[in-house]
Amino acid sequence: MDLDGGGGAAAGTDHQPMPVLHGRSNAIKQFTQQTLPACKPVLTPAWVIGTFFLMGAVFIPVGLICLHASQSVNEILDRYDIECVPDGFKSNRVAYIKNASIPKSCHRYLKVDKHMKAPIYIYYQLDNFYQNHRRYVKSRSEEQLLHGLGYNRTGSCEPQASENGLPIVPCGLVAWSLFNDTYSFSRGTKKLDIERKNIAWKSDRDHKFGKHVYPFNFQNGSFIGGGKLDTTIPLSDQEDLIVWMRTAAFPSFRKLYGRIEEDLEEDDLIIVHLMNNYNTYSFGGTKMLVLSTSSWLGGKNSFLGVAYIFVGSSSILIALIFLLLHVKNPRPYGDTMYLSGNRKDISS
Amino acid sequence: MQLDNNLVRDNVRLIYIDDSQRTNEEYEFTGNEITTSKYTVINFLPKNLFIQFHRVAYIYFLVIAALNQLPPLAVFGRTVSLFPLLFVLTVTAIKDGYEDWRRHRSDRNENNKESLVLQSGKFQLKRWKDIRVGEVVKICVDETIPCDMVLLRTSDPSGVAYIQTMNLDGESNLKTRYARQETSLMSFEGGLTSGVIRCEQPNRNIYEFTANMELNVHKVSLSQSNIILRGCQVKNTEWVVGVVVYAGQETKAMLNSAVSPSKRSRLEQAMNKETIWLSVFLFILCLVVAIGMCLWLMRHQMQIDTLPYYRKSYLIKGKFPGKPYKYYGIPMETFFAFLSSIIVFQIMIPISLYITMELVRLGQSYFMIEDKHMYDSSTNSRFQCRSLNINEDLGQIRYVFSDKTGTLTENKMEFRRATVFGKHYRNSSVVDGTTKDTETAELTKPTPLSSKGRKLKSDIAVDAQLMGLLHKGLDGSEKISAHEFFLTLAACNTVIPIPSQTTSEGSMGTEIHEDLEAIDYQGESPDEEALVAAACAYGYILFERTSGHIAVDVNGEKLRLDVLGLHEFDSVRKRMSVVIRFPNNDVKVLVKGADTSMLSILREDRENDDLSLITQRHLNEYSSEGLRTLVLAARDLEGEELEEWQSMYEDASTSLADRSLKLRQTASLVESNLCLLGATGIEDKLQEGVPETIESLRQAGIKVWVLTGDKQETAISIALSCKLLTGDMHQIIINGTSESECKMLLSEAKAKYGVKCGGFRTQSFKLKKGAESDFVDVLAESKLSNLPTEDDGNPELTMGGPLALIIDGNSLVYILERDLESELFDLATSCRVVLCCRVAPLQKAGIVDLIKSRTDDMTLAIGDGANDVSMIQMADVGVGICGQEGRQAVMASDFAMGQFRFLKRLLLVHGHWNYQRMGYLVLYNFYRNAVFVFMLFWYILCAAFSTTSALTDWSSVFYSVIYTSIPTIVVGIMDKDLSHKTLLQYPKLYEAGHRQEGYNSYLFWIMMADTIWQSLVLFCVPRLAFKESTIDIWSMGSLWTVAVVILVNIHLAMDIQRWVLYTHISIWGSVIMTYACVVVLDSIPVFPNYGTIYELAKQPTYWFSILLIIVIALLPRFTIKALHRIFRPSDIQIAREAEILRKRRFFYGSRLFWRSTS
Repeated sequence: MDLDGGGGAAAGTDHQPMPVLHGRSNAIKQFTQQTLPACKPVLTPAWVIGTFFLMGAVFIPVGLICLHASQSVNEILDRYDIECVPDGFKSNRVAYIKNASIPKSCHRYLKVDKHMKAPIYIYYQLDNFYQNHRRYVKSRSEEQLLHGLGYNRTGSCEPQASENGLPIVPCGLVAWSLFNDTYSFSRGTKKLDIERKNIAWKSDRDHKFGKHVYPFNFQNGSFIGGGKLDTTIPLSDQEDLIVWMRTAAFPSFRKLYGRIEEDLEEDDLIIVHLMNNYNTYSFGGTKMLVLSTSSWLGGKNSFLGVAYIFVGSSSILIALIFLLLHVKNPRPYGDTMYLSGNRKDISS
Repeated sequence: MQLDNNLVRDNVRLIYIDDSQRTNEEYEFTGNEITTSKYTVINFLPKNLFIQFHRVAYIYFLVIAALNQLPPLAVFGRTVSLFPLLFVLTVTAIKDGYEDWRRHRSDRNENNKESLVLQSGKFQLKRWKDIRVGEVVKICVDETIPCDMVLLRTSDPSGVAYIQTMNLDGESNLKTRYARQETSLMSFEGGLTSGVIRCEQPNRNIYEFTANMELNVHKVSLSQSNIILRGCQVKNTEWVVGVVVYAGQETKAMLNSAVSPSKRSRLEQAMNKETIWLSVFLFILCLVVAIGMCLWLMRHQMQIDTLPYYRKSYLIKGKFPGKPYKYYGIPMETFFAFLSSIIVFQIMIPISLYITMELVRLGQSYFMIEDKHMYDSSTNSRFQCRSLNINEDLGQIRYVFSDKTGTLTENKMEFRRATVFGKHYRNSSVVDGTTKDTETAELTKPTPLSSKGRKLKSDIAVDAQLMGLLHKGLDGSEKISAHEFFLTLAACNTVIPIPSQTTSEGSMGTEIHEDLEAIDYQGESPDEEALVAAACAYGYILFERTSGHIAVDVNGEKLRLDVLGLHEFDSVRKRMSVVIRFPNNDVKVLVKGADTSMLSILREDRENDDLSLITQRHLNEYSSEGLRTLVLAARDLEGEELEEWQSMYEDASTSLADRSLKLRQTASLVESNLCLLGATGIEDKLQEGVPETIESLRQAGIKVWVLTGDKQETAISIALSCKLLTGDMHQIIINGTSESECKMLLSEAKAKYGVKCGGFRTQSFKLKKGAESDFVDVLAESKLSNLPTEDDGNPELTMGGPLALIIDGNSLVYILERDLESELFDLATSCRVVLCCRVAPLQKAGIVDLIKSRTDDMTLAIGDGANDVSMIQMADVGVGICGQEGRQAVMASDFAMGQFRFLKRLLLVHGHWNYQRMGYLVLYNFYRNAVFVFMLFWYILCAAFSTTSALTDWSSVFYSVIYTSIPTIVVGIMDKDLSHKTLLQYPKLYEAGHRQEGYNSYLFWIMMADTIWQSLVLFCVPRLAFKESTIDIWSMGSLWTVAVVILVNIHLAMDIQRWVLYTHISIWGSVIMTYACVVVLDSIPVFPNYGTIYELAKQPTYWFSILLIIVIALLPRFTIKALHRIFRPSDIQIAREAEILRKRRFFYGSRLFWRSTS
């Protein structure tokens, strides 16, 4: 394909720009002749060293702030999946969990180390549960969640699309495996109130889960995967389900259970009444209860702070090395005598 | 008889004159229709698809898309997965369709031209495409010949026709062709003609034709001089009639226009190699996933039925009770894991790169076309990019093969200097007090005769002194010499004067006195034309030539000279002579020739010796100025000598065997004992800027070879004048007439100059492999100079000084066809300059092929004539000059331009830029896609080896097509490392391309290591920052989408050398666009990722993570880059610093200046 276009007409005007159009034709000329005004950054020693110092100067404080934020968060972790199995079933936990006749209630005692300021978030944490498995992630139907029974192209939900010849709402493995341990807390004898509303994203509640879609034929099969749903409550209000259906990114994850809206004092003893219903034993998963306050940066995670401090200090180190090298071994800047052709001439 | 035997034995073609039916009866010969287009409307879609899928990349695309349609593998949605393939196919199909439409148009134009064809006894117009073999065609003056024809008759009673073969061999002079006497009196119209021509099968040799014609009972042999070929033009002959022997695709012209192979740039070839490595990576990644999947399944074999996140089977009471759901056993699952990971990782092989490269080349071409420094205002022609595949090859050229005439020179000869009787006259001096501006020359011509308004090729500047001498009227040897000098110029040639305005066949005497008459000179060579024109300017006007006499108008006095004999120029004698009889019965022999051949045959007496010494001094001056010199001499011929010569000449010119030898002997009889008249200096005007261009190219490490159809002397003198050859070079001349002679010459030269067999080659290969070597030339020189001198007899020759190889076409015939090729290669590559003279079009291609097939070096061929077409197509890069010689070269070329000197800018500036840009573009695209793939890969490792992508389908597809493609394109088109001034100032910078600095496997592996680091950072930082948090898969995907896009854009931004507004817009624009797309995708409720970005953006951790990813990912790269730049900079970087520093200094300097003055 050749691109020789209109010939001389345009080129002619190039040579004798009309005075009126001077500004514009000049801009066009600069464009076509590749001489547009440009910024040409050069990595001079000053720039490089300056950049590294600046990075150090910015990153270390940021890191310190992040670290501080993370330190200010208090967390109580309690892994209960093993402790809650009655002694007789310690060797066969799967049998225990599958046996519906055995009571699943369990009590845990948590000691508050430090003052915890409300709101205190209650999470459950699962490990070794691959919510990000492809089979699992895909096994849902967004349309059905929104439109309910009226939507019947639920092929993606297989093998959990229908049961006893009837469609399941909500279908798919994700909903089927709904987490169903429950927790309630009391401090001393007084029961702690748990706020269980507004734990799911508002956008999910409003637009993703139908307001008029009610569970149907759910968890009716022989093989129960997890929690049951109240068929009188529309999906948009089933916040536990909504939270669960936001499948986690990694095999160990936390999900919000609720909030405690009052402060916990140091040395308080919290009694957790929990129903250990969920079967993680069959695949070696762990369950954990987490009580955590939050900072502006989120939960307790010192990674960001440490990383920022590390990067900042390495920058300063690199800057110093550069400075040293440059002082010891300076190179005349932009000296064309150093071009290889010229070097050759000199040497020969 | 021998011919007959040959024809009988071989496959012959029988042509019945004016009987195309019978001719085509037995065997249907090809018609005269030509097609160069590939598609028709009907077959476009299937054929185009078929051709497109020849590209491995597209098949890959197709397979991936097909795989994705399989239920167990459906990684992406259906529409999503087809998107990339359809996109690529559509873009390419549109491009191909447009190109083919243009070809269709030109074919149609060609096929629908019309010629007069004898149809039922009358010449009637017929379209070219309908002409068939055996038909009789009449062609009028200035018409183009539609097919190869044997001449039957011409308007000239003697059967002579003049044709111009410019389109075929690039020579602009006229050639004579003859109709056989036997046919030249035949009348075609009305009468039936019968005759059979037996000729050889179509072949591409334009210089040979063997056939015979059976006419009634006679057998007449036909040769090259009886055939006129397609593409030539009939000149100065009112009409010709011929019978078609070859038509259409079988014509010699079409056979010579070899099918242009589609060119792949060198960078693309290297890139394909690296693509294989990427495939290996891809394979390994997929294998890891597959094995991981296999091991995972084996470990969880007992659980997978109940695992909440796997559940291999339907429920007992489900649709298919107890049946496995999308589970096919561990081996199959492993296999499927492998396939589906190929689908997920597909962009590891950067398919979009092919489209990106095409778009970038389009943009680069735009800037090359628009470059006003490559705009030729004299012909109003811009630079043209005809091929869009090889822009970057321009940055790696090592060999330039140049045509001479019309390429290096303007193909306009000018008479510049003369030395007459030992006196030097220069023509560019002041005439009659008037400044000799070339523009005003016409008006200020001093003599009435030269103001006749003759159409001369150039204006001759007349030397007043010499003019005066001619008009002085006094007798004396000087005056006689001058007279004879110009008489020789006017008479001793084969130029045909053509009165452009012939009014009648009446007496010439009246005509020449008409002031308006214009004489056009047509000769075998432009030199002769220039000489005749010069003689004309001095009042010696050649106005008529027949085979028997010539008529010269000497200052208004008509002189009729009988030509007794003419010894044409040949390469052995290197001179020509003419024996003429004056009206007063004096007989003179006038000789002109090359100085070497002339000075030895001069009369040896004192006077002449002195004269010859002075003349030689002048000649040396002339040739050092690059002028083509000729020596003129004459002597009287009388009595016995004349008779002896006459009888010998008679005998020789009628003899059938050894005619040329006999004629040569005859010539030597009269070409002796000559009286020196003087010498001339003719300038074949070089194009503007040619020596500078050649010097720059040489500094840039490019070898310039000149391949020309001209004779050796001309080629050498031009090479001298364009500084290609310099005085200090040792010329090796290979000029053999047989295989053994060539072999001997070659080995002699090699021994003499110490060129080792093959040794050099391996060395140069090694150097190239090293990719950081010095230029080969330097090495060759030093090697030569280091040789022990006692080896040969002439120590001076081996000491220092580069070599120049001059070789002629005859020798090349023997060398290229035999196994001497490698010897020639060894010799030629160790020479700094190679000149090939008298080479045929296909030989040019052969020489290019010699280099191309034996080295990895890039070759560029530049030429302007149709004779350069094959060379242009053979070379890696073909450049056509839009000169006077038609457009064939341009049509065959990849790039076309108006002047040779643009080559410097094309290579040093645009070639450099394009190469640097494209090299970076390729690396960056590899990186861009690989970093994305590795990021996905790390994630899959922690998703139980199931090919989950955290990113949404659309984001995965958009990533390389929309999110990150525009900045690469803009940078690939607009970034430039150095300004054109710097690049032109330091041609050495071009060697960066030779050293493959822009793209090599070292860079590739560094880049891959960097890629893996960056992808690890991409994966790990969010992984750790969101460790044990509530983050969901889509939020993570969203973070990664944005992070990877910002990362690759900042990576690109770090490497941009020149930030213009558009770069800013594209880089930051694409980050913004990515965000916009993410927002849009997250605003559609049916997507599972609905609302993600809104929630995510509230979290400070999100923003901190992205910043951290970018800084950590780029930290090593930035550090190493800074280290390199500051402590071990490359040439380009130093030049860049210097450029910017100079600018700054200039700026500050001027400020200082202002301060001090105010």
